[in-house]
Amino acid sequence: MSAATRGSTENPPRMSLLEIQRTMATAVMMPLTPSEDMQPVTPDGRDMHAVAETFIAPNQQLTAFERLELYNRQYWYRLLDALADDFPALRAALGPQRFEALSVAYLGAYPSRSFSLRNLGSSLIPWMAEHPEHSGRRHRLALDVARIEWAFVEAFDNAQHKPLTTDQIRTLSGDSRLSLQPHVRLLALDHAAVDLVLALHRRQRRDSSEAGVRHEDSSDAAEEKLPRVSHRPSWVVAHRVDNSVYYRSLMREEFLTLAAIESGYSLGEALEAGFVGTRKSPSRWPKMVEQWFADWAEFGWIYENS
Amino acid sequence: MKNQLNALLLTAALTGLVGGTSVAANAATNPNSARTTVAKAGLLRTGEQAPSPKHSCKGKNDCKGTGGCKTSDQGCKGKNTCKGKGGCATDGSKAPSFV
Repeated sequence: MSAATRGSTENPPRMSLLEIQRTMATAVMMPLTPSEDMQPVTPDGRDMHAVAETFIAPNQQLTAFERLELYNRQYWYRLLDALADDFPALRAALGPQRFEALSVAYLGAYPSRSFSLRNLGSSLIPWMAEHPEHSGRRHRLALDVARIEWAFVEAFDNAQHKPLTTDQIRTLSGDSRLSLQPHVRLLALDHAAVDLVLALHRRQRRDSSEAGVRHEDSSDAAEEKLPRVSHRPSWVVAHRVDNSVYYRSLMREEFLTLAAIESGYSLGEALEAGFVGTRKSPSRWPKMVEQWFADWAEFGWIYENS
Repeated sequence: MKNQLNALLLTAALTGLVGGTSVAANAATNPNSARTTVAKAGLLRTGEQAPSPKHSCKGKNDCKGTGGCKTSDQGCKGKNTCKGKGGCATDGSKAPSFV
């Protein structure tokens, strides 16, 4: 009989590996206190010091609680860094302290569930939309900035299928249904914010290269002064060419046509949907359509999902 | 009238697709043509990110030499190492088999 099942009267029964893993994961993933320490009490009300002692041995310098606390902190610092890495312009727009508060609140609602930190920010935009209190008076702009930055993540590593071939094009009709490459991300924004985001990225790189890693712990929560951004609708696509990500402005009609193709409309339906509500003269439409489709084919944005 | 316009648009779309596909095929073998395509791609986001601003893993907790976090530096490795640097486009959809 093993020690784990024997139930010695002298020592508490050993935890199974699974129990240790679950206990460790629960402890490590607990949110930190405001002073960035480990919570003194577990989510189910037990004393964290006592829990730590059940599966962590102290050493000469640190108690079991303190040793576990290191991992708890590193877990959260890692997640917060990962979000800051994916949303540098959002962080710059909100200011580091507000961004960190937003990150902690978001990760409380959407803890990491993926094997890859790449997916950590996947729910940030809908969550931000439901929680405007975390992005203050610039909420709509912050949402646009987050959309632009998340589109980069997706455009960077989403799939690319074999684009339409000439042979496939010959078989197309108005009833054909085409697909957009997964790395092509369409953005309908409230602001013309792409220039702002790229400017913030450049500024951040410049500041970091000049000063190394800046220590911002002591800085005020003052928001960085933003370049002017116009509050008008804009349509943008983020896409990948030769393993680099680009943001390309679109006409509203072009955006609507692409969005219809992405939504599964037939080619004929998508062409109609693109011009709903347009003020452009129908005499110009064919030339516009020819240019759009030529560009999309050149970039390989369209494929046939067989 | 509407049907006629729709037919014109469809013809324009197919004409554009053929033309663009031809340009793309040319770009695959001709560096000048490829540069033209890239020039039309839009604003480039250079993905090289600045170092993480605050919570650098290394040494943050002053845990070195105190035990308890021997692997913390290793834990930093591998996170998004390819991100933004190009050359690692994948379908990004599959977890490792051990997950």
